[in-house]
Amino acid sequence: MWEGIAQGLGTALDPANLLWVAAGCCAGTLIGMLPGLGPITAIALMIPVSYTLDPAAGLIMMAGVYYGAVFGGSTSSILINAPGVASTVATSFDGYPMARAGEAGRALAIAAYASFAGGTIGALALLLFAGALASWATAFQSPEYTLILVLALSSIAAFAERGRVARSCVAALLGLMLGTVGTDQSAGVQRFTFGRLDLMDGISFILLAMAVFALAEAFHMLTTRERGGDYRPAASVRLRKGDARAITPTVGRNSALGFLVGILPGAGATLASFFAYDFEKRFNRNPACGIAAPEAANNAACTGSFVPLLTLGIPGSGTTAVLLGVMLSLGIQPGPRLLETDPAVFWGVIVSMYIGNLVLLALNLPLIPYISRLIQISRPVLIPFVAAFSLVGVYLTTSNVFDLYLMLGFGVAALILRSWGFPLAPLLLGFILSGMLEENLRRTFYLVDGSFSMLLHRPATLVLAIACAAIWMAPAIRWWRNRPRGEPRS
Amino acid sequence: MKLPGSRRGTASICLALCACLFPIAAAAERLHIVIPAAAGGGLDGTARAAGRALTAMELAGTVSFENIAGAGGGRGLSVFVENTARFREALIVNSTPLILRRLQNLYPLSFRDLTPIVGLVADYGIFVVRNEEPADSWLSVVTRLRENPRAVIMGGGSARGSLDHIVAALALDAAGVDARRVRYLPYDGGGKAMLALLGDEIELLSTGLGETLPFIRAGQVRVLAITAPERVKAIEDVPTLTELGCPVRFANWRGLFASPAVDEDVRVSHIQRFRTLTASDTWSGTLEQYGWEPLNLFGEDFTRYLEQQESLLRETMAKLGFTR
Amino acid sequence: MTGRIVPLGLLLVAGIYLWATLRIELDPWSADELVNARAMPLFCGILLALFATVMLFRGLTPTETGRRYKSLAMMAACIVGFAVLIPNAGLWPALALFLAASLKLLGERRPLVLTVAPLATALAGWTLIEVGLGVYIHPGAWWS
Repeated sequence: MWEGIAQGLGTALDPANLLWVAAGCCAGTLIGMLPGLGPITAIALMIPVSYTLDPAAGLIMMAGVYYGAVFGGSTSSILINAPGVASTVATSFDGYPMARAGEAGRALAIAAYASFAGGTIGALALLLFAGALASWATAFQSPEYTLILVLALSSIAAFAERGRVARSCVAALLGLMLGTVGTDQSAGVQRFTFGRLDLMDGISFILLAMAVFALAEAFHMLTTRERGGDYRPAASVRLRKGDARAITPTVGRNSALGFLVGILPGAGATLASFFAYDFEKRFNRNPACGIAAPEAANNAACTGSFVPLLTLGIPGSGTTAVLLGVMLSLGIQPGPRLLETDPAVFWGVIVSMYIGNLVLLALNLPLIPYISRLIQISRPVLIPFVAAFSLVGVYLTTSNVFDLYLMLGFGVAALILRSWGFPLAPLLLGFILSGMLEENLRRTFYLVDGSFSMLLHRPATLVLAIACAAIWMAPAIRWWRNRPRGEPRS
Repeated sequence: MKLPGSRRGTASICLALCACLFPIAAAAERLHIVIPAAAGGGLDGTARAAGRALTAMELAGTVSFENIAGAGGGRGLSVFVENTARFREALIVNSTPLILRRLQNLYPLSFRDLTPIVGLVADYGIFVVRNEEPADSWLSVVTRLRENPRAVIMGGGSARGSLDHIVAALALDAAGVDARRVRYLPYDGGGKAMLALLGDEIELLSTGLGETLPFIRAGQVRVLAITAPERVKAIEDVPTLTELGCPVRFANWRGLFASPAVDEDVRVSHIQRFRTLTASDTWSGTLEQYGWEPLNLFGEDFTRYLEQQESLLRETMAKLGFTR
Repeated sequence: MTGRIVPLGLLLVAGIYLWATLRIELDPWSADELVNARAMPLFCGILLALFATVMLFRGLTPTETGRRYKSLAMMAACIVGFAVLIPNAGLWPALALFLAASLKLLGERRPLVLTVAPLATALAGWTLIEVGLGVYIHPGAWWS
């Protein structure tokens, strides 16, 4: 193994490969910042460039594009509440309010440092445990996924303000319901499409996220009379004194969590970021940690998703599926034999991830003052640009005008819900989890076939079931004890 | 050492720029391909690989790609067919679900609304088990299923009633199994289904050869049977279903179609272009790289092939309850 | 009275959703299963209806009042205009017009901002996405 690492170091430090990892990271992070263009599009767009390279250089560059795009994705989520990918939704919860309070620079810096640390820790874990953890990916099957998703759904409690648990639940239900629109994933039947072709593929994540977060925020600024909606001038563009110390343990534990969840095929990075945020918020109210936790987790998870990809040849997400296609076209066959057939590629990619993360940090930090100044333009100028950013972002992914009308409808509905105190984060969470939850639930019931005793033969399932029950019961009991008598005045 | 590559990249960006600025001058050289799916999928990969090979062989000046995703391919299809003026010389890439979805009444359009140009590649259906189960052969699985159709849990990378399920039902029906009662678990994509097979959640996996080849070569899984008409070079020791006594031949084709309003001379030149392409070494290199099997059917031959497949599917799908 | 509007709306949504749930065609394989294509929608719809009913009786208090819905209506009109323009004028010209119109609507008066900013944004978008990244976007019916 050490021999392999040395060989990988040789590959990664080759001047040409250094150049390509830097190029990949730059391209990825810039594309990731653009509206509607997440890692999947970034990789698809860079495919033609990869054909001109040799296999190791090509894969190193494409991996750079991938984690570069994850790195860059948090920018729009923090600045204008427009999460372009599901894994950066959790970053906006504390990041956007911080940006509104005039600390956009600080928020971006925390995100950059946490991403860097998450990516680096992830790469280190990948280096040490890639082979050993391959079986972790196959240990989780439908019953376990179902329970993990139910566990993730319990984090809606984290978004419920005091006495608003019911509204939080309603928002999550609306999200789950929106997730059922379109062709059913398991049975192939049409649901809630009302005969429209445009709804057959369901509502895309980016459409809902842009409408409910970015567009609704623009509408909110537009319709509030007082000037309190303005961004305050940037008070700081760097970390505060205590920040580094506060976020270090957060970043450490959430990187580990993110990496482990990221290995699981499915929505690794998204689930990881929600888990991290929820977990952190249960005992830590510091908003700096609220940004650092999901950012560390999603970057570590993105590295973790390379475990099943490289060692099993199984793509865990849409993005890694595209990456798998790229690898095949470069003549690299990922799978258990990759270590024997192409050790230079295997270790080279992993070692290049460190370098890539350094490049990303060096690239992003100097840009922060300029980027955070972008949102200090006055409100009448900012609102049209936020709206245009989110609309164009959605149009670019589907080139369907119907989606813009849908967005307008969702944006207005979200504004109304918001005015009545419904939190919108659970809506998006419910939406993200809906499809996966239903699919795994149905498979579980099909496998169980009436007898639940088989669940007891799986220790992982049992542990998860108990954790689920505990986490769901705790707030329910607490809520019942201090249940609101009449409507509380906010 | 990498300079020639990047120079080529710059040159192609310049070319693309010129093509954008002088659309009329470049029109004769340009080929436009519509992809009714998002960037990054299987159809997208086929179209772009073909486009790249065409440019490499100078059979087309520049090839532009337009992704129109939505409605499982239905939106791209209807946009292509409705805007005859815009797409008169363009091509659209499509695959077997074009026929399946028409039969299931999910699309209003069929291949008869297009002009078939070329059936480019074929992906055959295969039935896979974990390698640790040496006793399993196709015949032993079939025997167990004949006794009790619910004895084996089978999985696939798509919903019930879509490609992987239909192929499995076709094969099992031909083998004398009550295919309507066989347990089929749907997964979100072939990768997750493969993971379920490796993790022992399902016993038998119905999938395509292309995406399984790496797992076969790594010795993780074993193929019991393939739906190809004769043995395939990549896995020569695997018997075809026909050899095993179930006369089922089925391929998931991917091919290109022209607009319904295409001029005859343009159609002929398209076909000629792809005849030259498929005969070339460049293309056989591409096929090898992706593990694709050539189909190489042109014009009327391709149309006849589609008609045959459609009648096979219509009959069996009605019998097995896939069409309502 | 206003406290009842949102719960009523939610109840309406739940009603329509449940009605549509019962009209989902089931495939022959899962019709007799416990968790089929209707199960989760049914669960969610009923739960939402329950929540909405409770809220209806208790009433909800808005957390933010006094919104200027007139400017929202004008912005919505701009977005609809944008959506109508895209297939005809193409994405980037439509974007420039949308930005100019909505800037004007929000009270921007400087002619330089009203013209240069939208044009520059559209040009930057075109350069970046179409030229730089090679994404094909249909130029619009008026130009082809």
